[in-house]
Amino acid sequence: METHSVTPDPQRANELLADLEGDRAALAQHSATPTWYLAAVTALIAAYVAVPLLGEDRTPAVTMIGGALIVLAVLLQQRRLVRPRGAGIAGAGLLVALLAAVLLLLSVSFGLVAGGLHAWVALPVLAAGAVAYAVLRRSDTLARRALDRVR
Amino acid sequence: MSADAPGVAPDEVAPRFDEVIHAPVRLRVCGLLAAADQVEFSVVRDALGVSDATLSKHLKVLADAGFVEVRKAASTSRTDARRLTFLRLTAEGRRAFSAHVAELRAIAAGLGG
Repeated sequence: METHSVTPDPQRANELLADLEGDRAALAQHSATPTWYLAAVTALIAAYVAVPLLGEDRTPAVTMIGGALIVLAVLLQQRRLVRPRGAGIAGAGLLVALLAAVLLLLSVSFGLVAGGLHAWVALPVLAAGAVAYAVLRRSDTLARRALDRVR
Repeated sequence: MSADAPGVAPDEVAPRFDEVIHAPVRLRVCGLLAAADQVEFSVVRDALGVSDATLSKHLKVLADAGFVEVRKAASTSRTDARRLTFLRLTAEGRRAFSAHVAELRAIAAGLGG
């Protein structure tokens, strides 16, 4: 087995460490979440908040949205050549915040529909889309910062 | 050095020179894998600027030492039957790499060697 047992001098050690730092830049371009995924998930979450407009017969739509989100997650995982490590506490916090925001906006949609203000549902739908996009982008940024922090 | 092994605080990695990891290509392979959960073979190859055969040789050394896992996966973007090869540092590999980098830092600072 090939081994390298010669302890490097300080200059060589610095060079090796610099190589490690430089290599991580090559990962950054592969670790960003694809735009198609961001757009698709944002649209699905916005569509979910619009579901109250369908009245009582909304189960098929909710099921399709849920299924589509799962398919997208699987596709993303299969296509990613650099799979990031866990997002950690910050990432989990973002997910919880997104879930809370979506549920809140969904309840607003239900209220608007119940009050006969169907056209105003566009507001929570747009808000849900904006929040989802912002959270996904923030999560992406956190993951890339974590990649840079590895030593 | 940020230790990636569970239960080890970032500042508690004991510097330890590792002869297997120290080879320049293998050190850089470990450096790339330490930054992510899994990295595809072609990304590592292109980042290091080495051939498939060279990288495979070094991966075998790392795998034999228990530092790297190699996993094949189906590809949704390829039209042929070839699969993607994902590489991952094992927990032991992460500890060994962290310790080795800590040793390099100590040497660079004039404290080790």
